[in-house]
Amino acid sequence: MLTLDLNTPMEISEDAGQTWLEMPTWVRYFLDLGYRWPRNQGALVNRKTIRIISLPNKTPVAGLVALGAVTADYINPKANDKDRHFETFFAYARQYLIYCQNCNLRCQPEVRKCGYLQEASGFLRHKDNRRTKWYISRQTDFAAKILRLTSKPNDCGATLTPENPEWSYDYYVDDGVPLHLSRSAEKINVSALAKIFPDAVFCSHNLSTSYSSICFAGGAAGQIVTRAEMQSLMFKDNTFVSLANLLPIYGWIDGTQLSRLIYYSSRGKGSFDQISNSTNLVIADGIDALSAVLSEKRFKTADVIAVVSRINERDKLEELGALIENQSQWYDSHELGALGVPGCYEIELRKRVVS
Amino acid sequence: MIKNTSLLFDTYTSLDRKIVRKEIEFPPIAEYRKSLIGIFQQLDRTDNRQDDVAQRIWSIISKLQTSTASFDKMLLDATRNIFISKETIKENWGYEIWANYQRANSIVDSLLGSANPILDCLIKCVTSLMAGESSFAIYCPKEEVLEIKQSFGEAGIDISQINFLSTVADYRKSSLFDIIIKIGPMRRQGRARTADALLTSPKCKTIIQLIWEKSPDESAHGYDPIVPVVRDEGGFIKSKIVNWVVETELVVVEWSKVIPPPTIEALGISLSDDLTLLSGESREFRSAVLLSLYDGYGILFAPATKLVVFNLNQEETGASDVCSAATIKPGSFIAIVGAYTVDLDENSLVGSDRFSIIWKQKLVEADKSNSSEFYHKLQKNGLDLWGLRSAIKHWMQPTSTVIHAPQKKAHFEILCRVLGLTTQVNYQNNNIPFWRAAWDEISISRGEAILEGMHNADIIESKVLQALRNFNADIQSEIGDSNKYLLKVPFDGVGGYFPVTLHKVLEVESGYRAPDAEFRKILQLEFIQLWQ
Repeated sequence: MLTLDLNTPMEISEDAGQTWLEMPTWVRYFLDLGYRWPRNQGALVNRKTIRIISLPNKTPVAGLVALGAVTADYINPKANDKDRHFETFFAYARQYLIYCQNCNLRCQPEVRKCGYLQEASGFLRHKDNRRTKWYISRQTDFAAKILRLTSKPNDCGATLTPENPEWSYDYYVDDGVPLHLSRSAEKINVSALAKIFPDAVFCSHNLSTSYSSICFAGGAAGQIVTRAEMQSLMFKDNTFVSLANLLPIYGWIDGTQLSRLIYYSSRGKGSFDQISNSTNLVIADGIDALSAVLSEKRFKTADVIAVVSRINERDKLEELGALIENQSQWYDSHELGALGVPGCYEIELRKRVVS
Repeated sequence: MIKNTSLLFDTYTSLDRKIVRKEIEFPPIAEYRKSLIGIFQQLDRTDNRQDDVAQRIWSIISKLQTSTASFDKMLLDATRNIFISKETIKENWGYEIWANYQRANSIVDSLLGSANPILDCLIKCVTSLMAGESSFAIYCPKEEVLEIKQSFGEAGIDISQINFLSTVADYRKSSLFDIIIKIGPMRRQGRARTADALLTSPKCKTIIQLIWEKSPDESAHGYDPIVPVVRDEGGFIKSKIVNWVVETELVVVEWSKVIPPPTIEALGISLSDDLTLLSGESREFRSAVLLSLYDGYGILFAPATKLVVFNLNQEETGASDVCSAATIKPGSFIAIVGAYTVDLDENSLVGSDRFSIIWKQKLVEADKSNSSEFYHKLQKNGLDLWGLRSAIKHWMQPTSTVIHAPQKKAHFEILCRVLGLTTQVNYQNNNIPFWRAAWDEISISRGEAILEGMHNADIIESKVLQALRNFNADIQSEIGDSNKYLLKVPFDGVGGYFPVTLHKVLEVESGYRAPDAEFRKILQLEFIQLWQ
């Protein structure tokens, strides 16, 4: 990982460290686009925006935009999931008790039409000791907002009724992402980001806390390919780090279990790497990803920044054309032009406000 | 993938780029293309059997437009094999096709042993680029790469440093070049298929295109939904981030051998855009033969359309035959096959006029009672035909060759509405508006039903031929002086049959050019004259 040295200029490599050049203006432009994106407009003032950036080739630009947006979240003290963590337990308990517990279609949400994406196994784990579990009890009272847990499955063993939301911070739902780091894990290292965004003042608490407001929608090639593309772009001053290692997608950063960037795979019918109900910005990497994002209900109010390459098969380009055309019934199209980076052209679809 | 995105972005700081179209004028190839187009224009593309011939012609032209291969390899066998039965082309397909086929083969024979000028041009271009410092790549179909490499090897060109691009994936992975040499026109499909991004997302400053004369790029090529390119007539291809200046250089290659003259009809063929024409997307009119029937009606066919023909006063075997439309003799009867039907389903029988009796009766009444008001009402509702009065007199006549009625569906709907025929009727077990059922009846009488189901054309044709032979004596004795004869040709042994109408042909006239939609319909001669 990078050692901070404010005197050497930041360099980048697009070929996994073989050749280096001083950080070019286009990298700065796309980092800043994500960094300065006004957040939560879609949900707060019903002005959802879809920015589409047409690029002359396939490059990891979507990762740069995502890195900018994630960095903006590091400096915002409210950008963590603490406030809604306890709530997510209720949502999880509701899914488990009403749908998953007695479901005989394990797990075919599209057949069951339950609206969920994956099965809730019905228990919580402790962040420091994965073997410590608490099971969702049928005694949970949703109306009164009382969560009941048992130490053994099927309502057996000791019973626990956590009243203080802070109790929940140490636990996370099975197959989910911990809110806080375990005692043995390291905080997210932002020394490289501090060099890339010199004016950023990082909120220390956020470096050990998960957040789920930004989503990175990868292309149909899958997460492994996307990650490999992001690994080829590297930052350097004294030592170097890849773009992939700076993106806090669950499992991408070594030594941490946190997630501050949800990964959405546009393969097949689309899937999330974790539970997501509060996304306010989606960065879509390619036409397939944009297409999947626009049809995903969970992104209904989230802004979208889509990065698409002009080098595509004809049918893909026509698919994009039809996609943009279809949005015209709800959105006004604005041409932003090629002001940002030469060769890149941007348009923005802004949700029409009904007066 | 390109490893220096900065360099790529930097190329956009200057908008201007250039396309140099080197158009090769080589008379034998131009005339060869015209001969193949001459054959193609005579074909009936609604007939699956003829579509194979059309496909073979398309394939030859498509290869010719994008290949550097020798003519011996590329054209000889392909041209010979356009038709399977080469010996009987004149009899089966008519004079015009035969003459164009002979001419094409003769030109190919004279080309044997000659170098392909596109290859010559490519070698010159590459040799000069390699002598300089410009980086370049060759964009051509994948199948051509080996051929080009072999030719370069023979010409002493070092191929190790040459990049070849053929697909979108190749183009995506490629680095930047000064020049991309594109062999053939830029199109969306076929061998000339070219990544749209070559124009919308250039990786070079100059494209050198090596093409035969009059081989334009497809206007729809260069698509991008966000930054579309626009072609203007001043020789520019522009988008908001790129600006291509198109320059054309003629490369004239002399040819001293004699080229056989074209047929009189083929004299009018000029080269414009073979691939669009052959793909069927062109709106150009096609050659047609008019078969005049009786009562002022006629029907247009492509000259090569195969028809079952019945001749009077001949023995069983000679009485019925299959001929090209262009070779039919006046006085013969042509068989128009209706849609498959069963006995219970009398509506689809050719000659059925259950509904026409009703609307014609109403029409006569309306015309008698207050004709001026009636005409005014029709015009007000949109039936504003020139000569409406005489048209109505014509529609009132009883069914003969066809059910006399307006040519356009919309006009017929207005007529029924004004006549007050707005009720629903039971037709083929469905309740539908009267005018729809009556229009179906009219369409069937015009022979339009045969446009739909040509899947079993071979089988139906042989069944009709067999039936005409079997019933030869009956038809000969019953037909007398009439111009029309109806018979049912059993098809599946369970009561189903095809209704067949024999129509007498009074005259056969070539020299018509009509859009596809007007073929195979029995129409008023007055209307058909438009296409003369």
